[in-house]
Amino acid sequence: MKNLKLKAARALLDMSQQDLADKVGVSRQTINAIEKGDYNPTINLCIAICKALNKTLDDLFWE
Amino acid sequence: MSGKTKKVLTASLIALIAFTVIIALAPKHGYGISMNTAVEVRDGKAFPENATHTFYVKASGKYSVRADWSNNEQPGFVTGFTLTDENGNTVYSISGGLLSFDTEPMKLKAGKYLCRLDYLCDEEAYNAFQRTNGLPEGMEDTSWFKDGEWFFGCNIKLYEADRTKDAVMICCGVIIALMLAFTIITLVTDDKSDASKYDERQVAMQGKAYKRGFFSIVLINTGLMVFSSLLGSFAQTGVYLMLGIVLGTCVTVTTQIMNDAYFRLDQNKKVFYILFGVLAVINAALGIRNILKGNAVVDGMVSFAGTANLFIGLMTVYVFAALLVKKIRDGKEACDEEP
Repeated sequence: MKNLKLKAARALLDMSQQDLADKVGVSRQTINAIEKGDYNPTINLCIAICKALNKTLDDLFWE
Repeated sequence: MSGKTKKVLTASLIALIAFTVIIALAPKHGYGISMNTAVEVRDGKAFPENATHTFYVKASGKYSVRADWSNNEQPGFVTGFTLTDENGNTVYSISGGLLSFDTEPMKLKAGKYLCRLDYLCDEEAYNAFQRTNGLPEGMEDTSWFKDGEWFFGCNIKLYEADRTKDAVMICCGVIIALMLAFTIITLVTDDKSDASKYDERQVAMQGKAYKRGFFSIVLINTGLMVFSSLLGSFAQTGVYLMLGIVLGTCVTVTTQIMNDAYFRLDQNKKVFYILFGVLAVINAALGIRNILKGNAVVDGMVSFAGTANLFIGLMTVYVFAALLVKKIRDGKEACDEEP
């Protein structure tokens, strides 16, 4: 399932996928795969993304 | 890896390559003759009865003897081959219809050696030859013996065969290949960057890729075994193994490339494009050269030595093409970038 919350949070901060990927330490394709719903990240990666976007786990990864 | 370590590694690699080249260029002694012979068998007697040739071995060492008969037609006699030294001692002897052999290495001292071919026209002559040379007597099938005239060519070679040297060369070759691969990887990897690694999604995808590659190899090798047992073997065993490995590797690499799990984060991709391009050209050129020389098919079977480079070349061409396709696809794909 697509993660539109993540995409929206990233857009809010005017961040590209590459910017977020660099901040979190993964490839751009991984961020793309998470947003498209093609990949389920581990809890550590979820936490890292949340910290980079100043959001909580509930905000980005909970239905 | 520190810069100093990289320098030491590169210097060691160069030294090992130099060592291997020196061993490879060390002169090997070899002696060969080509005999074109016409033999007539009349009333159970051969004319001429035998043929001889003298070799002068200049340096003592380990030599193998190889003989190839160029005529595929079975003559009406059995050929006995003997190699004797200057004291008349038999060093090697063998007999057969269409003589073709390649001996294990044997120690030969420097000196004169006589190479003799006896044309044995009946069972009595054959048994006498076998007895003289300590070979088993008795023939199951004596229908070979017949009158007639045969013309055939024979190549006899005495060549230096040092298994120890060959083993050292192979070991050096393997070590050089591993060191070269390791050196290239460490030289293109940026130690200072924390991004010189694969992320978790890439690791997961690599696991899938290796699994697919493994099962591909199993399926391909099973298929080749079934095919060859039903329809007859068309290639040497090494060719079957090579086919499985090459095709399995292609499956693994394709999965990794198409799912962005091949390169590390921020890895220098240009070096890989150049490297694969060079490897593809070199191996393809060697493969084509083997085909043009007629080494690819030996005795009606695809040979491993003659086709290994071609398979590797085709594999590297395929990987190079897959990388290019991915690059073009990435360029065309609308990046999901928000303004």
